[in-house]
Amino acid sequence: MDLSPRPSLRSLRVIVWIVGLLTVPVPFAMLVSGWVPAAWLWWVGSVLATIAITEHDYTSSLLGGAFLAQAALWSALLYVGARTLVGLVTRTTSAHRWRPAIVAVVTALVVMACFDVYWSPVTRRGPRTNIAGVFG
Amino acid sequence: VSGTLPRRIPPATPFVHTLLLCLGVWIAPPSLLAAQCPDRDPLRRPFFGDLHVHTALSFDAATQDTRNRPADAYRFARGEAVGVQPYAADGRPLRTVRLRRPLDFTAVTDHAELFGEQTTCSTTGLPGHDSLVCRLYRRWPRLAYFVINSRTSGTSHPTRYSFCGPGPGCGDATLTPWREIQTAALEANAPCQFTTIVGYEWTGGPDGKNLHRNVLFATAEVPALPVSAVEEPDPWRLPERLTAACAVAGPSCRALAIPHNSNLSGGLMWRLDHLDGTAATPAEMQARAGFERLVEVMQHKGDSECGPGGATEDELCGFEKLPYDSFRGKYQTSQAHRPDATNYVRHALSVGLREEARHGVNPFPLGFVGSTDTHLGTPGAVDERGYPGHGGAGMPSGDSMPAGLQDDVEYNPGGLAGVWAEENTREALFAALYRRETWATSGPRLVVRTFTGWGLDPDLCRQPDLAARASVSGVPMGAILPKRPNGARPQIVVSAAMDPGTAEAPGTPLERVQIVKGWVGADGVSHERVYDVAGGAVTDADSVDLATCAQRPVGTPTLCTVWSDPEFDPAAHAFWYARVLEVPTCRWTTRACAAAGIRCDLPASVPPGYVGCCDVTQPRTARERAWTSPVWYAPTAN
Repeated sequence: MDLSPRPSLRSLRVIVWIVGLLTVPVPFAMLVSGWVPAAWLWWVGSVLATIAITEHDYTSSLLGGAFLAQAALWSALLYVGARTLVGLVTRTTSAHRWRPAIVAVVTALVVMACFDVYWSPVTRRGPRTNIAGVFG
Repeated sequence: VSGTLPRRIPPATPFVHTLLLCLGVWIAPPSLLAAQCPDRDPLRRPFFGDLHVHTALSFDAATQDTRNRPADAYRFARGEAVGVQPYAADGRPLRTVRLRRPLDFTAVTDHAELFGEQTTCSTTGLPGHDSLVCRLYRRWPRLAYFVINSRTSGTSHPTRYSFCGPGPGCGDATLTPWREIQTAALEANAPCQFTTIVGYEWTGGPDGKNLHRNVLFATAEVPALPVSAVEEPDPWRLPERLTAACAVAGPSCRALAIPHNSNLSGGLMWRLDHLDGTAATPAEMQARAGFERLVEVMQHKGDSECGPGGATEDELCGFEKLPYDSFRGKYQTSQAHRPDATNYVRHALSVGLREEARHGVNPFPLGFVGSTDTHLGTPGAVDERGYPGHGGAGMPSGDSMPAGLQDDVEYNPGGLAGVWAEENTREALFAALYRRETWATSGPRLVVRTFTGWGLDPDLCRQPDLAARASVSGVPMGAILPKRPNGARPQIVVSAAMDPGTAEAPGTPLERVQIVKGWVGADGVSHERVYDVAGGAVTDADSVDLATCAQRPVGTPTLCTVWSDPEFDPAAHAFWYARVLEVPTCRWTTRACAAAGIRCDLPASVPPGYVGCCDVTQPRTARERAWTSPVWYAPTAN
């Protein structure tokens, strides 16, 4: 990851995108509904898809597919969001301020994730919980 | 219920019995040697219990963090306090519940399909414990509820996960909970005081259409493994499978099954064909009639008696109705069909009459019971005041209960089973269940008794020995009317008493008694009619203050009448049952919402967990009730 005084736009986008995937609560609906990070949707979808394959399980394939589809949708939207945000930062600030601005954005997301901003009815600790409850 | 110990030897035969034992000869029939209670009443007494109870051994309950086990459920039924979720990090329950009055009998009926899988996934070291499926169960229990349940209980072709291996059940892991259930029942059974019944729930549900049944055993002699819906997914073949399993278990092994929630069956529960579409044979109908003696007409997932609209003009069918007719309908809007008449027990009774008229076999001669279907391990917790929910409020609770209604708004606290039996022993209660001398209640302990005969004394209600007199000339609820004397028409005596309640929670007076009649006309078409036979209607406004839920002084403590069927047709197959209504009271939601100070006129002030308070499709009152088992009349009997 390039964190030199003038990082590349690509690396900034990727950093913001990944942090967004891990922290930004996005809505999902599959039997139950809630607000969780898109990364969690990938995780659950992957587990269910694996069970669907190894156990020839129909319900897992349906649910896994639905989770993965929603994960893909939100990942794409978050990428667009990250790209837009980074573009805004790079257009409105000088190059030597890019990194502090992005660090501020990332920090804000991480701090937000420490509060109970998620609604996750399928996790053991919940439904209203923080990032530790979602992934813990 | 008596607090003294039973006499283990019948008083009339102590010498003979002792002599036989000394000689090592066991020739006396079991009935002679059966224990009798000091308070045994040959005219029979009313007992209340719960025949549908889930504990932590049920997969779905465990995914809602229920931790009470069968022994805890029996302790609770006997009046002890137990903890329920949520639990603190140190395992301490944050809520405690206790019955105001103990029950007389209870059957723990955990879902049998996933006994082994759940044991495997929750016991370190067992083969399969580290499988991805088990990891899913431990990490995301609510998600596992859908995934794992649907594989075994939501399809017509249930299968087990690969870690279970071949053979019935899920390897040896299935034995552990099944033995725990038997041991708990054995240890908690106290003849003459409290009766336990060994049982389990058969949980078949193709496409999410509920075909569930509770299987109860007469004695401690039970099959080595329960016959679950994975082993036998077709309910028409279940009697044969259980008979075979019982034959191996021992001579006293005998089972009956109690279907429930036909309201969620998508019309499948009372169909006369197998899951593959082939018609059930008369022999299979006969077997089912001998095996399914009862139906659970009321429980927390609604009332299954009858549905409003359609063929019925019975306006009181609109009681604790679910707005969908299958489990899928609950979770998928596209599948949320309103239940039609074929989902209800009254339809089954009519189908039974029609089949009997056509083929001489009634496949659905069903007596009535109610139960809770608690998933907290809390049998008999039917109080609308402070209802703790039937499970974990439908979602994981973490270390604090989500603020709001403690159950889905369309659910209710459930009902109880009433049984007329000579004494509180497993033998007497099971015999009563088998002969259908039972009634269902929607929660309150209303006591209701009927006798039906061809020449009942019209002054029976004035007689202090009503039961003694009526039992001579009539048959009790659940029976089939004997041969009709020429020119006679049936009379029914109905005697009902309100639930007295307790000092801190007094019971509710009665409003009226109704007789529900069904018959098959000469044209082969089913008909039904409801007669008000005692008491009279009371409006909500006359009965209860909805702002405070305070009751107004209306209703009556007892009702009794001798009713003669004015439209009796001796050529028509018919059934009759009594429905006893309390005056209206606040529904559990109304109480919870009032206690929380919810103002539906200020929508912005309503917290998310209380949105259900303002659901205008839900009634604010409930007319609690009891349903007696029917009596049947068949012209061919003559």
